[in-house]
Amino acid sequence: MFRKLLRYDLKAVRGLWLGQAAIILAMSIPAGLVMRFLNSEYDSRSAAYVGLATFFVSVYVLWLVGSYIMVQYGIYHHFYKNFYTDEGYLTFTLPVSRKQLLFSKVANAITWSAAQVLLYLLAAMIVLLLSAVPKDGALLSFANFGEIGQLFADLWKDIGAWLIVYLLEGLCLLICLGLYSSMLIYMCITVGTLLAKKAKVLAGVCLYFLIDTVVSGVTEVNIYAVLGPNTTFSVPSLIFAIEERLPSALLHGGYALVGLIACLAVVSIAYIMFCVTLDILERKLNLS
Amino acid sequence: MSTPILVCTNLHKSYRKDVPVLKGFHWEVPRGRIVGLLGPNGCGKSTLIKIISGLLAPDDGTVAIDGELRSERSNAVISYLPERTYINAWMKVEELIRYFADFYADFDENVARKMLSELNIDVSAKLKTLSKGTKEKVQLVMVMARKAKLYLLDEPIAGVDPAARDYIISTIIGNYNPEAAVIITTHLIHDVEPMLDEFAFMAPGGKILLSGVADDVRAEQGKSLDELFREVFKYVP
Repeated sequence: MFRKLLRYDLKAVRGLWLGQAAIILAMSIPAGLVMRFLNSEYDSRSAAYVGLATFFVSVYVLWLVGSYIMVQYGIYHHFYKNFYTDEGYLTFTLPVSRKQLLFSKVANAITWSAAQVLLYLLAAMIVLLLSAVPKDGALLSFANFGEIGQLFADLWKDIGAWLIVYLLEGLCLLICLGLYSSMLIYMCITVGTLLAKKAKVLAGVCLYFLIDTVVSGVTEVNIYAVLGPNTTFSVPSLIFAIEERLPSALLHGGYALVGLIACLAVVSIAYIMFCVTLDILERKLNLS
Repeated sequence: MSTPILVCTNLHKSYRKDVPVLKGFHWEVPRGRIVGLLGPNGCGKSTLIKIISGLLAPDDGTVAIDGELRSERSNAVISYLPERTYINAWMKVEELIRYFADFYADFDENVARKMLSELNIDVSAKLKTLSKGTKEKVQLVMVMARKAKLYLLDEPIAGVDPAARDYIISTIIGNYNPEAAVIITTHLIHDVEPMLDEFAFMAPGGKILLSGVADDVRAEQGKSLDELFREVFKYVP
């Protein structure tokens, strides 16, 4: 039943996602060519052309940001409609548990957010491929990919197999943060519908900022307690604090451990929010 | 004698502390009967239907469906038609048929398609392009195309024209599982009375004032259920 639920949840957002994805990929091609123009040293470049090109790239970047917001809105709008509007009469009378319904929504959010990240990587690859100025009359140049490859090769030379650990941990942390973010919004929407009959969305938004502020504050306090008063919740500060406390032989292990603790902490908070939301769905739901 | 399909025991539900909607409510519905749950506005009919369908949790008391305490498994044997349009507007009619077929093992796709065809509803149409009345008919078709054990129809003929009312009533009679029970809540008693086997008059506070076999009461009292309803609730505050 969970697979069926997820299939319909994915379908509900699919049209929106595919539409904005098509526009992003379509815009990536001229964006790459425009950046090639900006990178080139053609004498014929006039200020007007440079201005237009810069404008186009700005629009492209704005669309990338805007499309992310649009997809996120689509995901959470579907959650709200499917649970807390008249559609809820159909949703909550299906022969499935509330846990399965909520879990399907979480999986839906993670899937489309991950798809969006992959889409941006693909768009970046297109832009990188087209923006490098080719030499000797060639059509395309892989110079940008060569530079990225060289960067990874240099990192591998410096830190060896720890590079793979950091990349995997980074990916894991991204997924955990996606989970945290989606659960926070779902919980705020759910509590918002409980607290306010009329301004449900506003209540949810206010709650989101309140909870996010509290979680950030508690995190800062914990870091202060463990690592001292000069350490803040930022990557450079945490790296510096670890370097101060660990011998160089254990540094990489220390970084990896902090990454793991961060993942566990984020997932734990997300789990608590899942339980709170589920409890409300099971005991306090009242569609009116 | 078979067990009742629905047993409500000591149900309590309040939306506010000082305003109980259901207070110690008891009710049993036998299998294979069409039962009218009739009462004035605000007496708790919709609240009771929502509790039975699983949309609301009671503050206290239990609901047993087909001999088991109410759970999400009960939804597999209950076919619920709310008083509002609840279908997903982004779907096409065809997708809604697939949706019901995917989640409900007792959903008869052929019956649904046949009923939609009789109504000249294009299955490739998007639900959001349909009129309100057509959407309600699509909903009704989906609900009645299931071979459920308990049908809950909350105000199925409210807000529709007389011709549509006749269609809805004939669809209910013609398509429900005869071994199942049907609970209909309505204010339009005159229209549904001919199809009711049993009835229950529900008073504010969630109390059953009067119930029984419709034919027996009509014979004893010499009045229609509609007339009896007006008489009973004339003096109830």
